[in-house]
Amino acid sequence: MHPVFFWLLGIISLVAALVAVGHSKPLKSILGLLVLMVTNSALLLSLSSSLVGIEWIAISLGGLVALWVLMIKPNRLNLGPAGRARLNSMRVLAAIVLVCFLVAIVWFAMHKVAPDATCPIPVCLSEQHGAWISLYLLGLSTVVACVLVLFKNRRQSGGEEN
Amino acid sequence: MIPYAHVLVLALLQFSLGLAGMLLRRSGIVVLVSALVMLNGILLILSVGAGSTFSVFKDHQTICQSAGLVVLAVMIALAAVGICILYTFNRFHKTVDLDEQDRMRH
Repeated sequence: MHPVFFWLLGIISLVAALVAVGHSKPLKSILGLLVLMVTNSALLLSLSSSLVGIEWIAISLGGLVALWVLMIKPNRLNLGPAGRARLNSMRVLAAIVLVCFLVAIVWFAMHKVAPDATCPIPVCLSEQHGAWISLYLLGLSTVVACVLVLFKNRRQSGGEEN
Repeated sequence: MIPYAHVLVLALLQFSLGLAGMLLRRSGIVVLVSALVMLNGILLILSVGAGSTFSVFKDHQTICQSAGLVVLAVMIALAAVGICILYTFNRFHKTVDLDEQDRMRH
């Protein structure tokens, strides 16, 4: 990798960090953070640290989708008052993205970071494998917590309206 | 090939920007974002050390990669917990300004 290309990406990441820290509007600030994460993952991929780079870019893209669905176009998801849940295109898209993300994490945990041959996976886990599993469980618990908060909010909003 | 010092400088600049944001801003969301910017800098150092480009860390690739993944997990947990706290505070007090957080004591 050429140093000019590295610093080009570096300047983009620094500008994104400056926007994230200095902007007065929270939405632009979060957008700056996500751009910073995507730029950093591009840096990592070009510096041949592919494992964390791929994981990082997956999380950044997931964050971008969540930002788009929950903050930029919240009415598409119909997260208003409680009622009968209907499937729409955004919900189906969000479910597909979530399933792809989880399948990708499990796939990497099983194939990329396998322990040595003398010690199979169920018997003992390598440090990397433990880190992947902790990350997977954290992501899963985050998703469950977000769904619970949203449903509780929907129920309370419905109760207040009734 | 990129010298390791360049990566360190970039990561330290990101870390400094995040630290400045944490110290100077009052909005809760921006402070949370600043903390994540700081962790981005740390993660950049660890993850680049895990790559095969730099011979300094070549024997410690696994350690660096594991540490990078743990920092990534900490980032996710920080974001999730911080957003939940800010969401709850905003729901009851209609603001995310950190100067108003002393209301929790009363």
